[in-house]
Amino acid sequence: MQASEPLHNDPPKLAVKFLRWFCNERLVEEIEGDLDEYYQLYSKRYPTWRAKVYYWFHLFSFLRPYSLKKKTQNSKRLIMFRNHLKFSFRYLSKHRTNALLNVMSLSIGIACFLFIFIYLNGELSFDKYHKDSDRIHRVVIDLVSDSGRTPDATSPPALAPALGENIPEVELTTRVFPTWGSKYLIGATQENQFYEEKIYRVDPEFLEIFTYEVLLGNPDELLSDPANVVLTETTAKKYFGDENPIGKELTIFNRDNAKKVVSGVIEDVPFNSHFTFDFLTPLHFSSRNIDEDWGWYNYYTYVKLRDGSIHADFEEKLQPLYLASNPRDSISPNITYSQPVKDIHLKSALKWELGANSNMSNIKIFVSIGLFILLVSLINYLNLTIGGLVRRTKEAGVRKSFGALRSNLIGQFVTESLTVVFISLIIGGLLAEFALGALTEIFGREISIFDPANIQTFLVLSSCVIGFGVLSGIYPALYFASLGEIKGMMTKKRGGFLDLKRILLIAQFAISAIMIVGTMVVYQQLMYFKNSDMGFDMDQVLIIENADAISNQKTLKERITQLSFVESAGYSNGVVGGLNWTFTLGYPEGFLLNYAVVTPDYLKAMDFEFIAGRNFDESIETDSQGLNLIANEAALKALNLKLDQVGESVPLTSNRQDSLIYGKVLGVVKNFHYSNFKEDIKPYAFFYRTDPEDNLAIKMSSTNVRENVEQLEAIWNDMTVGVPFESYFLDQSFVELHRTEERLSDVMLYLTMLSIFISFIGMFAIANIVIKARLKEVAVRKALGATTNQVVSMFTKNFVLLVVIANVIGLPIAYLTMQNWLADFSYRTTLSPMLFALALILTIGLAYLIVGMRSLKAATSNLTERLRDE
Amino acid sequence: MKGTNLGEFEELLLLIVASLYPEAYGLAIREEIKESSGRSVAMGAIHAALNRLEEKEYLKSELAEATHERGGRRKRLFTLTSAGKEALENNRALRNNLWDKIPELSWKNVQYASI
Repeated sequence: MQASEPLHNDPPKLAVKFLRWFCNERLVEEIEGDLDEYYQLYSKRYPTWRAKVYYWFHLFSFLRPYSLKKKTQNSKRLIMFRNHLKFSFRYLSKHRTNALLNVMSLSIGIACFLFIFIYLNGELSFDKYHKDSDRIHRVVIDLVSDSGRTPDATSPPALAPALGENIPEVELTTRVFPTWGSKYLIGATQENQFYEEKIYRVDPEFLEIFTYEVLLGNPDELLSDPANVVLTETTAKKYFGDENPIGKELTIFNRDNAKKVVSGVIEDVPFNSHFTFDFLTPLHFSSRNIDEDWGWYNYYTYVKLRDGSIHADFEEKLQPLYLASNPRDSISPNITYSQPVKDIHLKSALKWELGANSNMSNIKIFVSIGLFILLVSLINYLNLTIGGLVRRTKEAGVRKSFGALRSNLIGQFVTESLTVVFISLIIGGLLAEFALGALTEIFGREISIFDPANIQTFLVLSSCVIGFGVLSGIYPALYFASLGEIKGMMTKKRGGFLDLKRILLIAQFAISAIMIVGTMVVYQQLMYFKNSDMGFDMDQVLIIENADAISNQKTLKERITQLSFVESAGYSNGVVGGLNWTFTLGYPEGFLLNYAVVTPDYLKAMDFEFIAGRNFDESIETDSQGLNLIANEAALKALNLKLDQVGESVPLTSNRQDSLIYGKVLGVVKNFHYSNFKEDIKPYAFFYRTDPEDNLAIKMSSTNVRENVEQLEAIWNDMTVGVPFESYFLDQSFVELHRTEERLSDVMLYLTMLSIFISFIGMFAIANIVIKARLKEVAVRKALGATTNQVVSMFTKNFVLLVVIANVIGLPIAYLTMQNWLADFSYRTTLSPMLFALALILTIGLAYLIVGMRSLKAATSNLTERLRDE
Repeated sequence: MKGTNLGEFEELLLLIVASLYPEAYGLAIREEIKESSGRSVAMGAIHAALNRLEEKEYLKSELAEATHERGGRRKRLFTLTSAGKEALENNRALRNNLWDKIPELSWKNVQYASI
């Protein structure tokens, strides 16, 4: 050998050994040779560890039927395996009920876990698809006043430029200005028009911070011109079909019929984003300079930090910068801070979020329920396996006396438990796939467990469950192996009262009790929302949107009120329960006032309850001018006014020159719920203006809904040209406010039923085993004169006692957990003792029913047949 | 007739075996696939496919002399059989035939810029 020749690198020894072990003798030489040569090649190119990983990878790729050692028909192992398999099926089909229950509960557990895990995976993936998403943050400002701190997601438009100029950690900033509830009629042609509200006006950096795939158009010039508009793929198809939309025009039909030129098409916003939009267009106002506007809280500010910068450094510069640059109020008590964009969906619950965010505590509830159910079903599995052991002692004894080794026993039991596990995995996977398919609507997207990420989850879960199956097969095998042959054949061991089986049953029922209480509390809270007095009447109130598209609002209203089924109709610039405007009012201390601009009949149509003063009056000219308002109780309190001051002229705020501005509270309405029940009712007021407003609320008296709406639409079409008629019933929009709780309640109901079902499968199976083992005893007792009742209660009292213990453990836990959950709501139901009593009665009743039925069957069966046994 | 249809991967293998003659063995074939098509294929997959092709009698193989570089282990060298050559030619003829049948017009309807 010459000195220059490179040394031979030895591939991993274990791998070579493994190859020789499994590989067919005929092929082993060439395969080993190829792999060796491969290793020589790659160990020079890559670090050794990588070459080794590759070597192993290719080695595993040889694990195919053709290259394995041929197992002949006479292979000892194969014969034993077949034998084990045969005995497994015989055993399982002999104890059909138990096997079925076992498979059923295990597959339900697996399905639930998969289902919840996949849901959770989706929730945790929010906003992580952007490049460098961990460097993207949203800057928000909490508004602080005497009445408290109002967390707010919005910020003034001057904030973003100030951040970019003054904070060195900031690489890019963008503002987002949504349409705030107004809808724009947009069309490519006269025929193809739609109302759109998912239009974001943004800075050009938006597309650098948030990375979406650009399908068409020049990525560098998408937002370079104020007349540009970027569409998502679906929107582009909606307006232009299969044509290439680049360079085409879209008209926004409002007062000046602005035209926009399509500059690009990007992918649809993925489901896992905390905001969604259909149109992007550059933020541009020709009339004003928003870069110095610190007063207008209508924008969202996002920043991307420089690579390597420290978030805490950025964070501590925020508040000083806000105070220094905000010319209005250098000692503003408002608090500025930032949120990582990845956390917004899960953790942020500010006012004016861009979309419905998730809620960490609900997610925690889902995940714990998923784990609970998996646990309950694994307990079942364990319980059934252990319970079945009693009748296997004899079998194991016989096997051993015929010369079975420990490994044979292990083989037998492991094969058996793996048979059950594999069947359950397949059924469980299919169930999960089915459930995910059925719930597409709830998720708002299609999910399949065959998606690469999910199949991975499935495989991990599978290997855990298989590992569990192997262990639960090995355990009894070792136990029997440790018994002597004779002892194994003769003993019939009976454990004490608190043996493992019973402890597991108690755990199961404690979990069920917790879930029953939890479900009932969530449902009760939901009912509380639905049944509580909202402070106004939303039944039969139809809202017509975009009413400002009609120039003569008065005529429209008159024509509509002439219809026989219309009680009253009035305009407003917002919908209670939807968006509303805010401004600062109050003297000497200002507070944030929510308000809506309405016409007098609006308050009548919505049936707000006046407790003082009067409604606006069209005939009193001053009502529609200045600070004349109708307040809710909270606003009256915030203004420091008493009920008897209603109608008096009082100082309400001051202008910049510190001169007082007077106004009147014309009337006071009872507090009403315009937001979800998690927040206190805040100050709210109505103003009357004669300008056109965009929503028309119509209170109808008859229930002939479809015909009525058709008549309204006919009037609308008569007065407009080509503007689509869009309307909805107000109570529908309130359903949205409680969507989270509604969903939680639904999902919990199903999952609780499942968990109870699994628990009772477990109890039934255990009762089955216990009673079968004591059939002869029952027969003897009966023969000696015991009544059926006595026999039944002999079995039931033990099980009922277990359930009682389970409740004693579970109910306090349930109490604490649900107390905690309810604490989030400002308006909430009370935890009544009735709920706990109900959970107790329900579980005991079911246990009594199930064990009672099974024991009744045993007690009334033919005695002689039982005694003749053996 | 079973076994007369060539899969895409099988066709690729036969072509490469033919082109590497007489030095066509497992690793060399893998490296050639990687180089010419950019596909990285597990060696087990290649061996399995070669084995299958040999069973179909499109390939034949024999063990070569031992060399030093492989620690004295022999290579299995593959060569194309006449049946293999015929199968390749059939495939080629079929494809040419179909290409000739595509009318000129249908190319014009392919939209390159649709979204």
